Amino acid sequence: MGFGAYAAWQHALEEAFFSPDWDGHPVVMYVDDAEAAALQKRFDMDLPLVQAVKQVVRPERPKPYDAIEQYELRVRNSDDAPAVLPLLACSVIAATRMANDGRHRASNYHDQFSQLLTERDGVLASHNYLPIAHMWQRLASWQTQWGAYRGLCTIPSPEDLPSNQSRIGYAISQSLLRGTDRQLLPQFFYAMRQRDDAAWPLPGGRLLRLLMYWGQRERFSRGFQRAMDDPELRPIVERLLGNLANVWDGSPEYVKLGIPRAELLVRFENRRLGWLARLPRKGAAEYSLPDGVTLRRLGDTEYYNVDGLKLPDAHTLRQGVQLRGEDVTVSRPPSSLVVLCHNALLDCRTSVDRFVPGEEHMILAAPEAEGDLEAVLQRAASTGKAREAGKLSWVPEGWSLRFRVLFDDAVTLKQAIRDVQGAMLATQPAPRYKPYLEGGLPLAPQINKRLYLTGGEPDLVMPDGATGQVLLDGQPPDPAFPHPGESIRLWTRQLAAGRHAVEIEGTEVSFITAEGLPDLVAPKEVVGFRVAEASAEGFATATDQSTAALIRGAEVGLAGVDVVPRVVLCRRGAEKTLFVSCDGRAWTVAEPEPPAWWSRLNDAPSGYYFELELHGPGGWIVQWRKGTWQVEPAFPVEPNFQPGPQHLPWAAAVLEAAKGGRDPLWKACVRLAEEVEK
Amino acid sequence: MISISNLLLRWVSELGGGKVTDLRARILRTARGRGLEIRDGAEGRWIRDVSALGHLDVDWRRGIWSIAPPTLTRLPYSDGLALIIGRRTVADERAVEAAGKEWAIVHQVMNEVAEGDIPVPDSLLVQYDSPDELAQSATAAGFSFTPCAALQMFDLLPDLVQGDEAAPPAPGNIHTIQRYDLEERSYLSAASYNEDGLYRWRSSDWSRLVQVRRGTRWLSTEHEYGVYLELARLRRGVMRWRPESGTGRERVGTFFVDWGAPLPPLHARAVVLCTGLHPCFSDLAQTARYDNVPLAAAERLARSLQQELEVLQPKSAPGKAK
Repeated sequence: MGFGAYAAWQHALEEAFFSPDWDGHPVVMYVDDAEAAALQKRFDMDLPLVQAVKQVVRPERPKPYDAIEQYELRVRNSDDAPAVLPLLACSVIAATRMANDGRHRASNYHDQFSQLLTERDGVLASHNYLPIAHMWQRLASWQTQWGAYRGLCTIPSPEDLPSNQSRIGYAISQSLLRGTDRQLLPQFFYAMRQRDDAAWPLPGGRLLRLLMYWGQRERFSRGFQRAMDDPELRPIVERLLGNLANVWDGSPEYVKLGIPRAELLVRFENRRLGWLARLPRKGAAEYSLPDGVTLRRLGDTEYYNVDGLKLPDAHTLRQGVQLRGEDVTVSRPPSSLVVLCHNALLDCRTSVDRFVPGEEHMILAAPEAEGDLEAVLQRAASTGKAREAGKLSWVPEGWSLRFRVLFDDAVTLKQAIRDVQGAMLATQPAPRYKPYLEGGLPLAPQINKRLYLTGGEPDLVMPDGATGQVLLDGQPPDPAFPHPGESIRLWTRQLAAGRHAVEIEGTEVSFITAEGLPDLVAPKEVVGFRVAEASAEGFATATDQSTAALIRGAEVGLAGVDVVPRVVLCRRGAEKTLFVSCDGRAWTVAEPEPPAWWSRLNDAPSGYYFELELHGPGGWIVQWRKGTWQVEPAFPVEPNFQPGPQHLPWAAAVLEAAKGGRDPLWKACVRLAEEVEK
Repeated sequence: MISISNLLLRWVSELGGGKVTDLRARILRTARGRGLEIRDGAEGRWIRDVSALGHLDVDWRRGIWSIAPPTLTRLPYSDGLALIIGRRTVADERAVEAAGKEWAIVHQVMNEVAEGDIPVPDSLLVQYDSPDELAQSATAAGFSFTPCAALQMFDLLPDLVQGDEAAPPAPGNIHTIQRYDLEERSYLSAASYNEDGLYRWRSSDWSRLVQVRRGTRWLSTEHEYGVYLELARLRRGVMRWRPESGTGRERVGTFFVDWGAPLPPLHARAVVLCTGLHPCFSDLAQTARYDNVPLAAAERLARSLQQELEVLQPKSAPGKAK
């Protein structure tokens, strides 16, 4: 079985529908017979699409698409789209052929698909179509991981599909809108928003009802018009319209592919709102836009400062902003809500399109959105429900402000938003097509992205529409997992080190945990405080020179060691303690109290010793304890001084404790003391 | 189950180093995932505090961190206590356990943090019998040995100096300028930047610039140094020291620093390593409190930041004396 032609079509379809040229644009993978022929010509392919797919589908087997799945696995690479595009394109062609043709009902999808790939009805049937539905989910998941860079995903979320189209709905959703239809939609959206800008974006159902009366309806393709009228297809058309309205940039004109499109973000810092622009990838250092607006790139990032544009206020936020330059388009959809999250790269808050469960949000809401927002927060927010009291100068006139709004349960949040609709619709969390892991404490992402520290297991995010039928390491989890909308904290399960697998309705997600890696790798750049001569730097700096003299943690080496006195430990509780120096002096040592800060320790040290600091020459600690003298060395040396009368107290002390020690150096002291006494 | 504080230290020990932004994001997410109610910036404070405790080092300007080597060092004036800090992998923990069985008594001390902060790792204090065998024992256990990191660091503290002359704010970034307000202990929007003071703003590449203004000159600095330059200009003292009241303990005491005047990283580490414990924060006095700091060391630290140390009477005696 050769995959040469299939691979060539995979490349062509990825180039046609998922290249960075689509960046920021909604992508609909519309392929019908004519489009397939046009693509064959454009990419100079030897075999037609359907023929290339027929070569690798095995209709006679129980798993007709198994070879394609194996191939997908073999060539998998996160940079490239999953190698399922030719088969999915065929699934869309089949959807475009759905019609009452005298032989098939208009709702009959599977016979059209079977005819396409086997030229017979009933060979490829609904019972073996599930792998194709999963392929759509994998494609959607891959596309959304790229943000807007590979185009905005229009593949419906599993929960958006009617139950009778839960498998074929993906292909149908992509078969409804031709390119010409998509070019017309911005005009329709613009007209609808002009009619009532406070309610934008409108839900898909309302948009479809309004579309029926729109003066230019006749300009849509016949296929789309037919779908609008078909009760079976209407739910999918509604979702598609709703999704496209949510990502519409507010302009009546269709932006051609290939012109970079920057998102205009609201920035909050320094107690004021401002603008920032973000291109999907790092672009030119500067762009000029009409009316003297300039974009200046921030360092080595994809973010741009926006100069010359009036700061955000209630009017610009509600109306949206569209600026068209020769080589860049900047836009922000109109909205009566601004949702901001902390931007780690820029260390400030910037606006986001959608709520992100688990993240803290700051929300600004216009009066017309306040009621809906309040309803959603009451139902779905864990924190931050109350609006800030008092008037803040930087908040748009009449708008409300909420801080630290957190949502734990994505499903409840989505449901709450769908119930209120209105401006909240655009803020729905991103659809989740398949289960995935997020967070956790990864041990070595370079060698395995799914290797975590034991105790730092990731959270499991369930796909939309999951029923909660889950196996953890082959067993139903005990206790059961929480509601599928919440992230499942796997760390609470106290899993042993090793491989773990979660199986959710036929899909497995696995990861490995370990207490650590067998060997540690030295960091590429070591950070420390540089030491030069008698001083260190007050701030640590990174260096790749391992030879540099650095303070790292408490590793100081011998720098500054001259100030550290020698210490000896003396046992507490002696009736008398003397220090007998090797230079002929002796003095009584008073026992200090234990350190006061030991009260901070939950189990106090024994207090068996106290510390004696030595600044001069060494000697002996001499203690009278329980009727005997005990002599302990304290860095002693051979006593070497000319005996004189001034040494009498020293000699008396030594001789009194003479029998307390046997060390030869102590014996030398005793002999010298006897000489002093003579 | 291992606490989040010790788990995070184990994790950074395994990683060895990386970018501060990645570290912050993981810490924040992990803390939230544990249901901790944390204040804004808690993840950044955790990194700063753990750096002061000597477990890791951070190049804040370049946004890079690396773990510190596991090190054993004596605590000053502590009657036979040492400290193990730095990298703490499972293997390192086992080495500590082995030390506890062979030659030391190990005290694992849980640190208290301010409300809304992420807990910092437990401190490992080691009680030993023979100071002169300590270096050998440390090496045998696989640790570096530093005779007394705290006293050595105090000796190496750099003196506060004004930074190099730098460019003033440019027209494109004037709207981001803020001035540090010593009373509010934070940067506030500044309508004007004509007066002497400590300012910060975003440069054209979005990096944060911190500078002090002195007359017509703008001088580059770091935030902590900038605050102490301001305090010196205004002749304000923020440091106090009170001796321990116990007999024979008069040379060491508690060092207090007012909130809003954070110590530069090496200064902070030097005082923290006098006990190896996280400082205490008093809401009432609005100070950070560091125990077991020798008077000479406190004076050295204050001098290096152009501060005059106020010496208080021991707690048992009323009134103050200078």
